Amino acid sequence: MMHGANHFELFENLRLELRRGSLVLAVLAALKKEQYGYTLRKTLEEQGMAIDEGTLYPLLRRLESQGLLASEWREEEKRNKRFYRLSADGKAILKQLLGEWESINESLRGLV
Amino acid sequence: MTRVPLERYLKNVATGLPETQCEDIVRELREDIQSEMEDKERALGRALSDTEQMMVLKSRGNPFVLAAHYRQDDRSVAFGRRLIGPVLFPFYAKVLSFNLGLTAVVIGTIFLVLGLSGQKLSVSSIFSTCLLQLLIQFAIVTFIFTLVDGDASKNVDRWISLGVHQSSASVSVACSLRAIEKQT
Repeated sequence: MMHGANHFELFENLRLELRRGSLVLAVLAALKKEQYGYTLRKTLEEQGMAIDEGTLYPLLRRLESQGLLASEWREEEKRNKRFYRLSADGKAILKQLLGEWESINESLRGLV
Repeated sequence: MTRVPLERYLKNVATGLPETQCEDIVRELREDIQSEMEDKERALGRALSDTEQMMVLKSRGNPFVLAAHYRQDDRSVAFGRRLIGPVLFPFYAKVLSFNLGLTAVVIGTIFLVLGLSGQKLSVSSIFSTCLLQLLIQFAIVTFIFTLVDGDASKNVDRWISLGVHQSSASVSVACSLRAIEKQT
């Protein structure tokens, strides 16, 4: 039997690993509606997909460089904010990924 | 309103960012952190103290680690186990290239003077001296950075008290410095 602390740490690592893959899915899905970083973070948090800024912003940049997101600086409430939204390519990829996600869930349900 | 701790934090982030996106990343981060601070201020109904601002920044983690998240290349040095991680690597590369360059110049000058003063020099002796000196420099720099890396990973939270970059130069200066470094 594992020690409590050890067990917790192991679970925590595996949990993070499991969630990491879903983060891209969550970010893409949330950006069907245009948002800037801070509100996006709040939205994800409210939906139980909290993500720290140190991960979110680099991820947004990566997805943008891959052409899945489009962004622009715009003024809102007298401050300049960078707004992100899903691009046409992003929409197509998201649809495919969601299909994949469904099939993984189905397979798992069959196994457990 | 300018927030001194925030600007200092951003400047530290800027030192480790990829130079082409530096300004843009800093601008976005500033916006994000300011939004969080303003949310807190609205909830409290008053301005945040410097200490409270520091707490917000502390929750964002070590600025050098944050900057490393933005770098696509996670370069590091390993010899069996990891010696120098991706956070310190850019600084390591900078110091190492400076040291090796300086060493090469110094040795070159010495041999040039010796040669001009009529000393007989064999190519193999010049070559072996150069190689030895460069190897020594490489070993020393790598060793020091290995120690720092080991220490830094044990004390991830200490950066906040270190307060690197206390100068009044703005963040955009830090970004421009990165761009200049790249060119030279």
